[in-house]
Amino acid sequence: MQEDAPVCGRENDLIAFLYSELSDTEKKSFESHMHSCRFCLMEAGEFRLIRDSVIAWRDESLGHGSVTVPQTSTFNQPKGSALAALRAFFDLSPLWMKGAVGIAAMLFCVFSVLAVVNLKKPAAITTDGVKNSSYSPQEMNALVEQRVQEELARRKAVEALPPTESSRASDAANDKTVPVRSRGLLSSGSEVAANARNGKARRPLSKAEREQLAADLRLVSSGSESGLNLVGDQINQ
Amino acid sequence: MEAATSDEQIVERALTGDAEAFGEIVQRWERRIFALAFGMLGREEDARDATQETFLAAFRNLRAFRGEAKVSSWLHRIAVNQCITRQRRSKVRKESGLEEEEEKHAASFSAPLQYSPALVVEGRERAAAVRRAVNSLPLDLRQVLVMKEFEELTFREMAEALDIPLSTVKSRLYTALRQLQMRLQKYDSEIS
Repeated sequence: MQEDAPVCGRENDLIAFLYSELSDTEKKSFESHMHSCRFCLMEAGEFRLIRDSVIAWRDESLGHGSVTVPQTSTFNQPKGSALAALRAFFDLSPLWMKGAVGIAAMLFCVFSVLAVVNLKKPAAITTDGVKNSSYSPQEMNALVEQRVQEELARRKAVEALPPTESSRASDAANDKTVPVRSRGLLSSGSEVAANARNGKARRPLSKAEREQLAADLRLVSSGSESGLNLVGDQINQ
Repeated sequence: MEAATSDEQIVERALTGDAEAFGEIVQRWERRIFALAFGMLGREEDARDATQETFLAAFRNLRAFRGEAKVSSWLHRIAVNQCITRQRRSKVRKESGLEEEEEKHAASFSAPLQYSPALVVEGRERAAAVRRAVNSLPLDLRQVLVMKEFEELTFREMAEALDIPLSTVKSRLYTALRQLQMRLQKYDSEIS
């Protein structure tokens, strides 16, 4: 369109029509004029497009309803909701970032579901039957009682059995606490002495055993001969 | 029901020392003045500054307000003067190369979210073209266009604010739309 394009002389009515500022009578009159004036009809259509462009610019810049934008203060940016900000972020993000965020979100969901499923399962029992979770006082008392009974039963069973190789082995292990010097010199009578120490030999010692024991003790003691006699006498008594 | 206080009454209160009265004037008019400034300047930041400066200037010159014109017309004139001053400064900055960066910033206003990136970019380019076209209009044409499209004033309100006849408002708006049409046609032919 040229700037010096012909005009029909009703430009002001055209503008008033365009901005809906004609009365009903004027509007009908101008509409009937447009049926016969191709120029006004065409120009009204073109001006509408121009207005649309200006309004689009206005709305994009200020948001919808320009006059209502700076409601309380002109000097503060209008704040969008968090959801809108998130949407804006995703709209402006590159594809790879969207993909990465999507994968991260999926992993997060999977782990969340797994965590929830694990929480819903009954508490796991350990191999020795003890719960992993914390105990109530009643449970604790029951467990302690159970363990005490088990231990007592075990000890009774051990005492009821005759001395075996295993008990001897354990005795020998106990003897390891004796200094090496004396261990190497212990004779067969040392077994008697060991039994006496452990309280396992309840029967009274024979004379020969007593003498043997005395002899052993003499080796252990570093005292004088009179001292040794005194110990032997004490044992014999 | 209490009758609404007129702008002129509020200004009178401000002149008699009511400290809050001028705040009421600001609350009433800041949105429209901002819209006017944005339409005139095309940049949100500039429009905010111009709005602020408009009310500061109005407050300083409150005693010079004689009540011959409406408060709204008075504020509009101050705002238009502020916009013209800022545009002059902007021309200097344009010559010094600062304008391009600001134009990029101006084009980065929040875009409609439902569109694809291509459409968003296209919309921004179109918006930038419209902004340039509006800014290139002569001041009197730009003024009426902005008052109509941004402030949504009626022709009568515009005539009162600008102190010109109603028919002049319409003819200026008609000319503004035609010139805008020509500039945008040029833009469309360049991109096609």
